Amino acid sequence: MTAGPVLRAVGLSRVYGQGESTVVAVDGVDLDIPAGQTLAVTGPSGCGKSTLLHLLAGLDRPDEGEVWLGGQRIDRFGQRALARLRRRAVGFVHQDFHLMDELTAAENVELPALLAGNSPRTARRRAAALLDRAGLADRDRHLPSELSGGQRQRVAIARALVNEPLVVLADEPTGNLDTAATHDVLRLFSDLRDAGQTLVLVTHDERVAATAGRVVSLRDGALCEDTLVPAGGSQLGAFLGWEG
Amino acid sequence: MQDVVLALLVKGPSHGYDLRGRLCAALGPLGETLNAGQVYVTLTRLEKVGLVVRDREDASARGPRRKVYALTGAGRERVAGWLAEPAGPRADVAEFHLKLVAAAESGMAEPLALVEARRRELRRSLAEAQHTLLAHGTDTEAGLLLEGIALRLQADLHWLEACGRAWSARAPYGKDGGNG
Amino acid sequence: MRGRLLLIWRLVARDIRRRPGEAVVLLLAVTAATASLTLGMATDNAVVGGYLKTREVTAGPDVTAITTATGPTALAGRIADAPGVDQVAAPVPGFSTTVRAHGHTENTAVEGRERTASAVDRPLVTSGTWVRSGGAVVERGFAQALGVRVGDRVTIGGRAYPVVGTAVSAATAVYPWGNWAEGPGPSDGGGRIWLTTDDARAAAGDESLLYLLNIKLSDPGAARGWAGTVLTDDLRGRDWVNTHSWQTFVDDNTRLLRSVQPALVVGGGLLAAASVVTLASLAAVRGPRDHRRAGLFQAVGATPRTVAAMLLAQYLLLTVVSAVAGVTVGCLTAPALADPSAGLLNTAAPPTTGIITTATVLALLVTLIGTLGPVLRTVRSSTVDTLADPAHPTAYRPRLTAMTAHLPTPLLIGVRLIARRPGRAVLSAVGTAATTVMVTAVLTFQVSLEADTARGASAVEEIRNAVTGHVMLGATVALVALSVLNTVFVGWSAAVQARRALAVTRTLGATPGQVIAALCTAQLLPAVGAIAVGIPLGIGLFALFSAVVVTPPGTWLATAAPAALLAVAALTALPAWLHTRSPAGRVLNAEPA
Repeated sequence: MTAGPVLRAVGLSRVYGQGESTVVAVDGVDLDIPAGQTLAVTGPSGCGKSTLLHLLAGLDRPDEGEVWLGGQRIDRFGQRALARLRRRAVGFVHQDFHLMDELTAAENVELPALLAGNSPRTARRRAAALLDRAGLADRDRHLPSELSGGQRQRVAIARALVNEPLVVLADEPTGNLDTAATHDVLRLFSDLRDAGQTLVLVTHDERVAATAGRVVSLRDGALCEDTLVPAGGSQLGAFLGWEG
Repeated sequence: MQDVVLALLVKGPSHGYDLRGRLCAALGPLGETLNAGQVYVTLTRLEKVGLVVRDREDASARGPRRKVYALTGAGRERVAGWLAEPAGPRADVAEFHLKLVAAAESGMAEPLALVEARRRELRRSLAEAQHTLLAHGTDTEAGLLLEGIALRLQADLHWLEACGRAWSARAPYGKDGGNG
Repeated sequence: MRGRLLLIWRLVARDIRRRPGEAVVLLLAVTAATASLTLGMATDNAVVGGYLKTREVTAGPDVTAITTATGPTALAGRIADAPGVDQVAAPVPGFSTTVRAHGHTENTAVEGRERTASAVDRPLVTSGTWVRSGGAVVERGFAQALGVRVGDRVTIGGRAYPVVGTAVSAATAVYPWGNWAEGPGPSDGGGRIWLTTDDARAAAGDESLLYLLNIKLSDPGAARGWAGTVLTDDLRGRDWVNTHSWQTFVDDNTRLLRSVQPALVVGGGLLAAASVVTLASLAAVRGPRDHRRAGLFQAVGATPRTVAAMLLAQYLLLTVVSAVAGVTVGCLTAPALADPSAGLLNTAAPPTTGIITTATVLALLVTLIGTLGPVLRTVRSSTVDTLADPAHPTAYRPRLTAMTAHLPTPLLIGVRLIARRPGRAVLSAVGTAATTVMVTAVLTFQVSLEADTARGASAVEEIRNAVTGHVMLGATVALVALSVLNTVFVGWSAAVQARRALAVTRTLGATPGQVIAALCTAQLLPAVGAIAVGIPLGIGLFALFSAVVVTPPGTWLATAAPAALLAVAALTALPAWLHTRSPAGRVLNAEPA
């Protein structure tokens, strides 16, 4: 593992539309994400969170600025190179899971591994390990339609991890989940964080953001706040009001 | 209340009637419970501890003469200290709201900076609550309490978002909190 | 690589299991097209196969020499000594005459044969026995044309002979080219009957006999050129000698099927067009699903090429299966078609590489034309869009909206539906046009046939017409079936794709009846155009391959066109009706994720 940022954005901008009806979705964002950090990007809907995440994942191309991932500048990559990069270095988790309905949980997790050219056996082994980690070892043969929302999202997270990516990017991963399911998903993220996985999650939910080690706020496409949450600390006692 | 009244005097000396009007404008319907007497009592107390001094007495066209108060150096220090100190996790909505108004009125702090500091503070608390919650689970009694705390902090953060939007729209140094 | 193949296989297999209907539709459409094309190409092949089999079983000659020489033995001796000749069988006497059976009179060669087997050309008895004194053996194809079976009687030169057997031989071409004994001058064609040598000589009476020499060469491949190089004037003597190589029999046999092939190939082409329609509407129905899949694959790091391969694989795998099925069906059916006169032994000849290649190319072409467009569109759209928006945005057309505003409700919705998806209108038009072309061609054929028969047709023409009639009927049935499938399918896909818009329309007060009428309108308007184009095209296409063309009477066409339209309307109404049965609110709530 190398020190320094795994993922880095420099003066990143993305503008939609042409002529008078342009919308600046991302406006000159600078961001350094060191290895092992969990970063939450929050902000009201329409603030450009998702666009930023797509730019970082190489799913979209910036109009200005640079994206560096694992020491490589990726914003000028061609489609094929980007695809290979996504396969190898990026795990993406979507709000509505985007699992393949016709594949079982295990097969969904195996999918990126097989795409990356791994042997079926390797893929199966990794998928089994990840599903176990996600607490879904007994659900590997279930179709997504037979799983709850939270289980589906955990399958999707396992899928994002199967190629051991440099960074996992999650776009509103709990947006479609109820409280209990959110709790399960956040616990899985928390495990990942403890395991040193670099993680970027976009959310409008402060409670979800609060599980990250660092929270940045985005407003009108620009970064407006950057909070590092120290580990530990005990401010909760203040809620009792017994201190004074 | 003392801190707010002091902050309203930063820009210049004023009398109790005017101060009450400005407080009522900031508090809206909530301010209706505030009677003129409370403001005068507060001013008298502040004068006693040397935070304000009676400046002069204005003659108004109608009604009684008005005592005009001005801030002392100690008063100004007190305001600066109040604006800089964190509100604490339990601080209620009206209190922080008045602080923002006071910051804008006095010009001694940037409301947006206060919002951000507050957000940082709340986020740290929320992070702690969430981590503890994830570690302990929601189905215990303690979990239930933590859930309540987390929900409250979440609500505060939501409101803070609205504050941020509103105050950034009135930049710089809103005068809306002024004479009304 | 193995992993990726596994992945593709998984997706294709799951897809087939989840939606077997779609797979069956694809299989049927492509199989029909390839089978028809294979049949068109395999008939020649089957004729050759049938002849070669017959030749092998009956020890068929490489070359036959027919002579008017009264003493053929000397000629036979000279030929036997000639270079390249392996064997010459004893000369077979024969003469050309007429035979009567069941009131029909036909030309035939009557051949005198020993009861023992000859060295070359041993006709294979397919029913009854070989010749015996007083009994005749009729060549199988000829027997079928005459309608005689073992036990019937045929009359030759005023004497009746019981038919003791039927047989096939490779020493002449099949009926109606079996009459080898006509001597110099043009041939009228006819059949072939075997008697014992004595009976034949007796039946000939005063007629001069000709002799058939069956010759085996050391190199059968050289048969075609043999007569020109070896059979010199010295060898020939002064008598009339006519030779045929075995290859000319093959040529004659295949000639019988010449008129059938255009029907098969054109039918195959029309079926291919209809299959394209099926596949394109299949791709349209699968569109949103494919779109979602593509987005997902791109998001997890599949290159555009992999995504395209993945999407195409699900069609292509089934296409290859269909091509194999089509070629198999074609080759198995070919012999039955290839031997209309029953003069050969039927064998299912294995398909040549040419047939396999052409059929596969056609199948792939059909699939690619139908599906490549949507697949490429899907691959090209950006990943983010693909994941975010499964449906294609439809352009707003203010002028059209204004223009249609005055139409009655069903027509209004119908026209707007067409405008939303002009591609589908083209699809249903192509499908209907293909069917119309074929139906018109069949009608034209029937009318022309009647005119032809009235003028008097030869045996060859009759056989040809009968076979062509069968083939055209077969192709038409297949095409109509596929077209019915297409219409239902396109109608259904229209209902599915427009379900949201139609549900909204219904919440705004359109009755289910109006919605059904609208969907029918959206299908009928293109169908009207298709029929208007299809009818002249059908007649034109028929004229291209047929010498005699009589335009079908106007009343026929006037009946056919509305009937086709009615069928289209009925077939569209069915899926539309099924679609409108569920309450509008449920449709709006249950939008696909």
